[in-house]
Amino acid sequence: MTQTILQRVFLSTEIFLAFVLVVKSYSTYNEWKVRLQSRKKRLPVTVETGKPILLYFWTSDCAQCKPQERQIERAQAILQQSGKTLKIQKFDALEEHVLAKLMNVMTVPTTVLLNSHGNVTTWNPGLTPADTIVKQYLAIQ
Amino acid sequence: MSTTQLLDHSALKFNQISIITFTLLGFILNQPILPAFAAAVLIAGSINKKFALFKLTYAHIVKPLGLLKPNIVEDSTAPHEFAQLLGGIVLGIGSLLLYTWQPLFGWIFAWIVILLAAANLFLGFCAGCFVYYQLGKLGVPGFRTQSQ
Repeated sequence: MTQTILQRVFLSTEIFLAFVLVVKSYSTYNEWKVRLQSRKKRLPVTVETGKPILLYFWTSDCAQCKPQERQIERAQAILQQSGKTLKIQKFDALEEHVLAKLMNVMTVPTTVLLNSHGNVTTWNPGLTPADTIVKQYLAIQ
Repeated sequence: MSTTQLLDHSALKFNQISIITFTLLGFILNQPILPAFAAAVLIAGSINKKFALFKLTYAHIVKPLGLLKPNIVEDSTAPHEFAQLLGGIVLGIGSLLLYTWQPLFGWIFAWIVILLAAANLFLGFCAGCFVYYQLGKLGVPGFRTQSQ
């Protein structure tokens, strides 16, 4: 009985680890895909370039967009304390479908950080914490 | 058409924690009653909020004891209800398989729910929202609303 339980605990741990590995690999693959795509194709004129910018994709019916907005506001406040400004551009993923396709938006919210040359540096599907946004922004400074 | 109201995101988190706990314990102890119970709570809670036992536990025990801090946000309710119903249906199918002739497939369904709830809780990726967005993109009626 105890042995069976232990076996199932180990199996559960293995399943969790395998899942995290698959999710991280898939996410990394997609990030590279978006980076390549954004270099090959020209960004729509609606996207501001020249300075690092965070593209934030949302929809009015999105479950995690309000919490995401709070995280973005927090990230802006953290960066402001050290005299830095995080520029944000908000896009409705269903309305701006051409840009959403170019940025491989699979779910909302999705945040994409562009460097000053307009190249994608990071691609975050789903709810992204403020600390992660800050870290990603500081890495391209 | 979805409605916007004040939602406590900590209640949603507690819901996910409960789903993972019941289903995972069911797998470890080989007790199909636990995922079946979680499925029943999710489906009943989708039909009538009075039966959303995990959310009621949060409201009447977890929150008053200060175990989780409330995180109230004005939010759209439809995707959350959709995700809960989807989770309940998948877990319900899994539970039926566990009680019939296919326990292996039953646990596979249960694990799908565990992993997707964990992805939402720990990685911020909401599978229900992904399906909801994709259906909205395809223009399926009821899954697309006007921008605000």
